[in-house]
Amino acid sequence: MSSSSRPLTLPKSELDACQLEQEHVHKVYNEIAHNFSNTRYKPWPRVVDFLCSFSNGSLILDVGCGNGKYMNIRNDIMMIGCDRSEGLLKICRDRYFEVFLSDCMNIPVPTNMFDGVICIAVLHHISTEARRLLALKEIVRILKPGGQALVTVWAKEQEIDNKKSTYITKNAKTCPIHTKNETTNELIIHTPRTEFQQPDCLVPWAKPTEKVLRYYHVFIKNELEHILNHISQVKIINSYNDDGNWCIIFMKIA
Amino acid sequence: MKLITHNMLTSNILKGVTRGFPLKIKADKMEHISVDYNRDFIARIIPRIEYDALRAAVNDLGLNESLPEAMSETLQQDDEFLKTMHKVLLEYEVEEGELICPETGRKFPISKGIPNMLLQETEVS
Ligand SMILES: C[S@@+](CC[C@H](N)C(=O)[O-])C[C@H]1O[C@@H](n2cnc3c(N)ncnc32)[C@H](O)[C@@H]1O
Repeated sequence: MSSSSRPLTLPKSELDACQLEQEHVHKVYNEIAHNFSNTRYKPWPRVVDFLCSFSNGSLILDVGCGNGKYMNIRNDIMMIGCDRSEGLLKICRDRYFEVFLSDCMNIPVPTNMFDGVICIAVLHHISTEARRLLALKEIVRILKPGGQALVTVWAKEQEIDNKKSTYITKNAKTCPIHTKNETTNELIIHTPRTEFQQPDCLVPWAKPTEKVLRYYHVFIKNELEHILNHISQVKIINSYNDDGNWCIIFMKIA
Repeated sequence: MKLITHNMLTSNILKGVTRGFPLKIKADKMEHISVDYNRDFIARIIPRIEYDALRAAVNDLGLNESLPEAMSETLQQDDEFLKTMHKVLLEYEVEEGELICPETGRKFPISKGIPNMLLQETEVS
């Protein structure tokens, strides 16, 4: 995958961040699109509940829609998807979903357009806080006043109130734990099915080739709230942990 | 890409572009697929549509569909009109072609029904 043999580090500039995401997020999703899609077909119940809260005829955008697993939950709302992976969008098209290729930091739609937005498991692939803020600002921009968004991200804490998430209870491994070299800001390779050692890491995609590493920034409790606090026009409606993911529902206020 | 999606796309993400709407369409390959008609759904969607942009798209594509010049409250209850809107918004698909920014002429290719709206770093506003 990665052409460079030197270890990867946290991005120090905007350019670094773009390159890291290009190499270890966008390229990876295109490469693993079919495999990924075959393992990601089960909608999360609380995302479905959120989608069911909208009235007939609502316009909803799925930001980072992947293979479109939330795009046919209802047939009485207008659901459009966007994603950076052409490979995954082609799978959406095979299912007759409406999609466009775009980056979640620059979504080519008018301001105040959508009744609802979902952004499920996407923001943890963005490698600086400034860029994560940009992505959330973009979601707020495109929502109409009164519109609501559900954003979920992978949690650093995989055990809440003594309850381990499915992620670490399923096929738990007993592999050596990698630790970070404090002086270099090196990105460590996360050992799958274990607790996260660092908020920023590379997660191996096991199949089909083990060398494929996806970049993740796993979020700590209240981190989404902290970023949203930088944006006016946001009212937080609910925030919760859902099996190893931090989730937040917010409304755009006028 | 259906025309309902076109009705929501803009090039306002380009540096220097203010509205970027509506995008002009050039189609090299189109398809018509039938979609179940749901009167209630289409009636609720219509108030959200930029009608002039939709008419411009129909014109760009040379579709043989007659959309009245102006939309009105009475028209929004008219079954004939609702059926035409259903067909125009949901049944035509642009498979290959391009979208063109009305302000800069920047072209966004459409391939396999997917508009590519990705920008170069230098184009971002
Ligand atoms: C874990 S998948 C989640 C897909 C889908 N939301 C779901 O719940 O199944 C992450 C998705 O985010 C997309 N993605 C990552 N970075 C993105 C960006 N900067 N802009 C748009 N999409 C992005 C990837 O292409 C991928 O489809």
